[in-house]
Amino acid sequence: MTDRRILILRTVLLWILLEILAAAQVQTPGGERVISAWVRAAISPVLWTGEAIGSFVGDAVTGVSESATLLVTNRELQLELEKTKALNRIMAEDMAAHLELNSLAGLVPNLTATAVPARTTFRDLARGRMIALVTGDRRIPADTPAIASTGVIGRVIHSEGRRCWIELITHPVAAVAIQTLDGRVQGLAVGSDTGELEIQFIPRQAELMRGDELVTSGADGIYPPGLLVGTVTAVRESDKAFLEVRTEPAAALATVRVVLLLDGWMSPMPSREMTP
Amino acid sequence: MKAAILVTLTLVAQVALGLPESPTWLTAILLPMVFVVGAPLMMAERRWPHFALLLGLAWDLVLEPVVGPGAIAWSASAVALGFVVPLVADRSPRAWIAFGALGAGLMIVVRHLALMPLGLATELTGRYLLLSVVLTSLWCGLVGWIIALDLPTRWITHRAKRLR
Repeated sequence: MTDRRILILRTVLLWILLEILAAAQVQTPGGERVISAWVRAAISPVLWTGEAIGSFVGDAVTGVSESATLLVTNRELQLELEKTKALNRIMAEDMAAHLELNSLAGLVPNLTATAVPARTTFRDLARGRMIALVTGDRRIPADTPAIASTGVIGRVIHSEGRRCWIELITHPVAAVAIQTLDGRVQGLAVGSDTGELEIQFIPRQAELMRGDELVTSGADGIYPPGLLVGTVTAVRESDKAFLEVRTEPAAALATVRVVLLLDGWMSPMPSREMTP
Repeated sequence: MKAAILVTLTLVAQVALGLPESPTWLTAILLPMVFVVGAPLMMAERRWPHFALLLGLAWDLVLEPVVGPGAIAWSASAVALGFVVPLVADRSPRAWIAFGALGAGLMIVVRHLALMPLGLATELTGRYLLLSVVLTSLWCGLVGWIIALDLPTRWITHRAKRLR
């Protein structure tokens, strides 16, 4: 840098200092030093920017905090909603069970004194098992028939406290003595692995057609006569001595909620009032 | 020391020009401009901007309401003349007049600009500016003419002739 440039630079710096010196001596009409006004004007953008940044940061922090609170509240509301939905499902289930129970009570009016309603709590169709919870504190003996509003379910094989283990009629070892509605054809319905019932001991000359309804005959000494067991779905002749008959269980085993345990069914009961 | 005495006397004279009894146009003459014009014209040392700065500070102390704008104006004028004068070969009284006019104009304008941010600037009229430029240039031309006469040499020559 040449001497002349250095000289000019120094001179300009001196001018700036002199102007600042002069500003420090002069007052505005408001009584403020001019240099103070200059400094204020110079730093006001910085202050404004600082305030804006501070406000932005504050808003951001508030927003994040409120968002977190909102998320927590939302989560609580979601949990509350799930709880309400669960309660609603339980109430709907209870309502459906109540309706089923009413239907059962209407179907078997003569058994209301001795029959025990029970609520199904577990079912395993593959293994032919069901667990039901009786409403009272009454002990249910083994071999007590269990029926639903649509038909026979099975029989009690064990009870403990309020819980009853029921062997479904579809269990491979279960057997129910059946007959047609007119009583001319009698046989034995046994369970199978397919969930259907195989009707055994039906003579080849028996008049049995697909769609015929089969009810309990009472010959097995377990189930009272006249309870609907199922509907014939297939009748086939073979080289065996009896017809091969398959039946669809009348009771909706997969969806049944309430069952009626016919403890003490030995009293007389109407045979056709159980058909839906 | 001699320069300080001269500057002091010039400022006293400047104050005297503004006395109530004197004509108002006399205040338009910037008497210290001869130092700012004379320094580069007479090949003085290159510290003329600093010298002009001190001159301006003295001007502010004596004549201005605040210290600073005058120093800026006088030094700005000195810096400008320091650039322009070496470009011209003429050192006659005409050069003194021309550079005096330039320096006066610059000084008045820069002083006005320096006072504006402080809120102290008064209205700058073209008539006052022209009057000040003309009178100051004539003052500088007068000083240049006197210097060109080289009175000491003439006096020594005159005394030598008489002694013979």
